[in-house]
Amino acid sequence: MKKRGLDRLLIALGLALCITGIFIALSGENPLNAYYQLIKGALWGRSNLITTLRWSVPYLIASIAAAVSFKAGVFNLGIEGCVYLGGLTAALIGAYFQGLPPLIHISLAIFGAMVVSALWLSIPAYLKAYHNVNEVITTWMFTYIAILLCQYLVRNIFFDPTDIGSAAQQVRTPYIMEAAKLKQLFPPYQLNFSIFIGITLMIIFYIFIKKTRSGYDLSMLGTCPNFAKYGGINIEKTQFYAILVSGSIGGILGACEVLGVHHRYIHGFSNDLATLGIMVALMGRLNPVSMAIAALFMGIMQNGARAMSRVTNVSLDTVLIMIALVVILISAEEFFEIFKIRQRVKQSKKGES
Amino acid sequence: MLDVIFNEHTLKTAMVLTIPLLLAGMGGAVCIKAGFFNIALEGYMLIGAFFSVLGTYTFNNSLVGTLIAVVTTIIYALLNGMIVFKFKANEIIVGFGFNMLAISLTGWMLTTVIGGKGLFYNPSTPKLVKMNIPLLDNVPILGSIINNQNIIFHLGWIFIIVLYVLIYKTKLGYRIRAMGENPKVLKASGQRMDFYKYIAVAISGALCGLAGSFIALSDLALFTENMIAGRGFIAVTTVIFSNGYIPITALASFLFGVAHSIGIQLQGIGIPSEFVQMTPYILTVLFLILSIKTDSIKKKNQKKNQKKSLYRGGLQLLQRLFLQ
Repeated sequence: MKKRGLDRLLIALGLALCITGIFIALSGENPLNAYYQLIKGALWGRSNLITTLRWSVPYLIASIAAAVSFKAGVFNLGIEGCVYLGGLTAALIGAYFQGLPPLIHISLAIFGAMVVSALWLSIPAYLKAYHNVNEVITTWMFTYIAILLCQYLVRNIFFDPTDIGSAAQQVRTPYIMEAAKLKQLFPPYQLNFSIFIGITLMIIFYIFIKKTRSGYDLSMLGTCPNFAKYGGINIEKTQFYAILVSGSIGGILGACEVLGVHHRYIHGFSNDLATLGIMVALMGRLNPVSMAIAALFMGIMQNGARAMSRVTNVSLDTVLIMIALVVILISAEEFFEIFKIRQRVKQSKKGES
Repeated sequence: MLDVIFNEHTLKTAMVLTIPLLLAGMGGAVCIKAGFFNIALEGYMLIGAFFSVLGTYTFNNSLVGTLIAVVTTIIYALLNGMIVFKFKANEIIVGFGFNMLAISLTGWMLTTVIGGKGLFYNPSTPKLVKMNIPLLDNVPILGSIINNQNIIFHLGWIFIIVLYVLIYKTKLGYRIRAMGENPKVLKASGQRMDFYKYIAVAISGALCGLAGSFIALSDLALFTENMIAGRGFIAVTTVIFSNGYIPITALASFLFGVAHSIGIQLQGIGIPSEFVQMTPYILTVLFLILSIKTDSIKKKNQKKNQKKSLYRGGLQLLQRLFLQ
């Protein structure tokens, strides 16, 4: 099974690389050179490597958030909203609570972010689980509402008082306390302690899915709902908590970004982290280990694409095209049957000769 | 205060705001009738919007631009259909992927082909022509509103009837519905199964292409990155709410339009712009909550009927046992 999943990822990736190569060639560059610049910009040298890791961390956390709900067969697209709400909560706790020791302050901020995000998604979760309202739409709408709500709150209530006189156009909160900051690992670079939070979450997710009963319930509900129903799994409850947990992990992501990177809430800080995280989860086919690899891949792509667009004439969107193609191709089940049939034909021919 | 909200201008804005939702929603409704839950309407509209502006700019004619938009969107939609029907992919994941692909493709073309940064606007690009038809002025109440609108505006309202007739009164529509409700019947009668799904997807592509060009070409001929901003998802909501029954889809999109335009009027009174922007999204959720109630009533009725038939069955059994 595992090997097959990897096969599919590689085939999809190869195809996507080829198609994206056409796009790169169309914009008047040599695809091979562009890819070389991309890899070089992502992995060559200490600073590039650290920045790649810094981008992989949020994708990893977001992909875990997405995977928790996708495993249960629930498509929670409301993670982006949770990132914003969680980020705002963490920024407020970080800025307005004073005199707490660092560890407690950080945990409080992250915990607050989790609670707010979980509460926020409890409405769509309730509607989905107990009234079977389509969660794709409700959670997506809640994302828009959350982003606008955050913008309103920060613009009118929690704005930075020092911004009033200055000509700052950004909607942002004051800086958080020193105690609430997640320490940077290699100071000038943005990589910070949230990488450990990400890895811990991934390990917890792995153990949860593979070793615990409720994890089994969750994935059973996703793969075969009828079997789960007759097996005596409480479907409503499982779906409800799947969305809630997914949302609260989204909150953790927002808190990590605010406490570790920006040190304040800046509106628009997430910039589609969660959407790309969903892509990562789908690329990894919801398997914890391949999700980690996919997150690293996404980090390489994001960081490398910047280097590529600096050196060559290729725009950043090219990478997004490639990622979307990978997701589309990887979910096309029958698509890979073509390759298999060819292999079988080859094998049978070999057998004959 | 009330006369700020309820006046002719509100209705006019509402009818204009309804059009993209209406067109895309009807496209989704046709798809759901063919048994395909299409959430990529957003992406289709974005592709349509982009190519309408590009086509209009190159050929200097808004109608040609619209035609190009419709054709490209049909191709994009058929591609989506192929991945879902032929390669048996999950329709939600692929729909999500196609939305992302539309955003990145249009973004790529914006920077590479046109060379604009996040925005494509050229003052010389012609808009859709506002048609002045003297006949329409004689229509009571609506006359001044529906006159001096562009062609897609009129097409949108006409398509309600056209599509209703197509889906419910013609052979093709009958087969499309059969595909959604009971594909085995279609197979047994020797029809090509996926053909009707492709037709439905192509119709939704064409309608979304029109919707996209309406958004891009009606006021200013301009394209900005991700300019659909969730309207495709609102259209999906109208589809879910109406379960693909086109008159209700149209009504739902009109309600959205009215609510949105009232929201815009409220901004004049001094309600923060964020809340005004929120209205369509909040309404969407409320709409879905409304649709639960109807569902549960249906279920109750079913249960009642079951009970009745159980009761009748019991009576018959008793009669047989004791009267014979």
